Amino acid sequence: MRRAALVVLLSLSALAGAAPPEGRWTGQAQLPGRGLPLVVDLARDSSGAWSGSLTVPGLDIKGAGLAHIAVDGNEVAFDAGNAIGLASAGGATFKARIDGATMSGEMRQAGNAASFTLKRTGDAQVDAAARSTPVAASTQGRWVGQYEMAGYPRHVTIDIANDGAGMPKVDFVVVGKLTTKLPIDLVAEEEGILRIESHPYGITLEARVAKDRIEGTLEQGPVEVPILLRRQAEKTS
Amino acid sequence: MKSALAIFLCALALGAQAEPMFRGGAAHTGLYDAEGPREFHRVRWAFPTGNRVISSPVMQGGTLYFGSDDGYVYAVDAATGRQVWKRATHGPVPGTPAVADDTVYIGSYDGHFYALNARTGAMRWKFTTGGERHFEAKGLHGMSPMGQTFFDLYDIYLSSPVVAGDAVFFGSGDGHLYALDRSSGALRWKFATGDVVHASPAYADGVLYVGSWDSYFYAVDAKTGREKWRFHGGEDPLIHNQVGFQSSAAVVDGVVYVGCRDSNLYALDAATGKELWRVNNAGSWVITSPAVVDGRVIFATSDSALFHIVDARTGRQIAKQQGKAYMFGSPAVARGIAYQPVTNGMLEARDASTGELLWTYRTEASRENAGWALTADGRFNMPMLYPSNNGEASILAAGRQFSMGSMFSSPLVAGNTIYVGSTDGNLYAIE
Repeated sequence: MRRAALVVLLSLSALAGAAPPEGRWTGQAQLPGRGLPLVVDLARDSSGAWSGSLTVPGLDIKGAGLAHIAVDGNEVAFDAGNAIGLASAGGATFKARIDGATMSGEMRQAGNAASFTLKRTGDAQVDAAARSTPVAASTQGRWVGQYEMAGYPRHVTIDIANDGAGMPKVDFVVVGKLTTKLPIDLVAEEEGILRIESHPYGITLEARVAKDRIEGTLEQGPVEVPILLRRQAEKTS
Repeated sequence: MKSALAIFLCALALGAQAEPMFRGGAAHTGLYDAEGPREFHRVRWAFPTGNRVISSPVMQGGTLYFGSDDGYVYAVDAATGRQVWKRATHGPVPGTPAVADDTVYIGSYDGHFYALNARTGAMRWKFTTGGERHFEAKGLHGMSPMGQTFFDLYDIYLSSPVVAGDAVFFGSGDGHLYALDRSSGALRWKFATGDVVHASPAYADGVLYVGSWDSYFYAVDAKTGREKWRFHGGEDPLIHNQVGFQSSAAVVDGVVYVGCRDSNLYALDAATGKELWRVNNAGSWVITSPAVVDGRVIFATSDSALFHIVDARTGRQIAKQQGKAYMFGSPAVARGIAYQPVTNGMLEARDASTGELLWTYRTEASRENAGWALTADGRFNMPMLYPSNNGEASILAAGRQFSMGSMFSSPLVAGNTIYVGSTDGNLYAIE
């Protein structure tokens, strides 16, 4: 019993000793007629840079990366990036003051404003954001194929080239009634599975890479269709 | 030429008299000969019911008649907002009644169609259809799982009856268009379509015009129930989002105007069904029933929230105004003002020539904005409503959208007052 009390005291003192916003913060925003549960994780790395993530159980949001984290003494501000609406169109922002183990302030979203109160409940558990990775050397090149959606064929051309250790350079062009060059947010290849995401279009390609073919599925919103791409030989002039 | 003149005069007369049925008469022009409010003054009264009021009120002799999703049909004194009578059915009543010869005709989700004494609410007869149901489909609107059949939460109306001669006509979720004898309720004929019929049939020159969720729009001989022609709207075999006629047609000067979920407003030749023109809305449903006034067609869209005024002869755009939220309820036009209900809980008054916004009334629920279902400026706040395509999430989201005091009801303009229902359970008298 004495040992349990000691553990509690030690953990409380550890929390008290942390930099003011660092930790896991749990509570609610008081929207009109509805409490919106929030879990915020804030951590500082050895260089002093802040990172954070947001979990909102009612909105299908788990570990969304926080952006524009600003800490000034007991004041903290951050936004939810594109997690609760596009940042460019009134995404969620938070501004708060920390008093001991309580963070309280104002949440704004889409022009609405509400107060929120969070309690520090433990150490930060910041979700690592999905990161792009270089693809296998053999995955680089031009791939062409097609998929069909709503009865219409779409022709696809994908050019993939590694670009150092960062996100590979990918040109993803879909030709249907319109020609669309997709903005690419994530490219990764693990265990022979290539994943390419275009968030504004809600498109995800997930396919196994073989020597001369990439075969898998393309998701657009709720719809998933099969897709087959074949390597296109480089033109020789 | 003579018959065209006759139709024109008839349409004028219908508009002037505002018969007590959906959209002010059998032709559904949405035109009311009344001096509606040019600016918002006040809510004169609000009549509370036990559930949302999707139904549109009609008026005869100073009494308003409408249904509520609480299962009752109501008669309310228009001057005072006091209840005259209520009559129970065994299901929601989201259609609009028709009143003729002291009888109120209306259908209920209980699968019955009722004829009630307009003075007392006493039942004169009831007719049993094949049963009501919502439109439904697998993976509807992209809800997941895609193999699951979902019913359509936005299939929110029941067919409003139209009275012509000694018959009453209405559509049903059982896929039929019915013709009943007005005095006895006896079945005269029923016309089968391939899916739910929740639009209200329009009537002109002995012909009924109504669309079905089977993707076809039909012209049916009112006397015999025989099909005269059918018109094929769009289809959407993947997610069934862009299919079906939910809009009720208006018929003016030999032209049928009707919206469709395939995102078009169509103008069809009433005699042949030939398409005269269409206005495409790039994926946004046209659920509103068009108002037709002075050579202009006025309608609004759902997702794109656009308020349109187009030339009735050509479909050419005259004016287009950006609204804030889905518009399902239909515009009522009176003395140059279009009163447009909006699902964000607002009633908008717009200039019927330019579409310019004149004034807005907003329900208390919309102002309260529970859970931030709306943005601060009254648009649907999609990130707070639709976290995913999961079916349950979508159903909850629709419920939250509808909790904003949404106005699906089409306004009635009489005297200097607008009468309109809201999902907050009230019928409002606004002046």
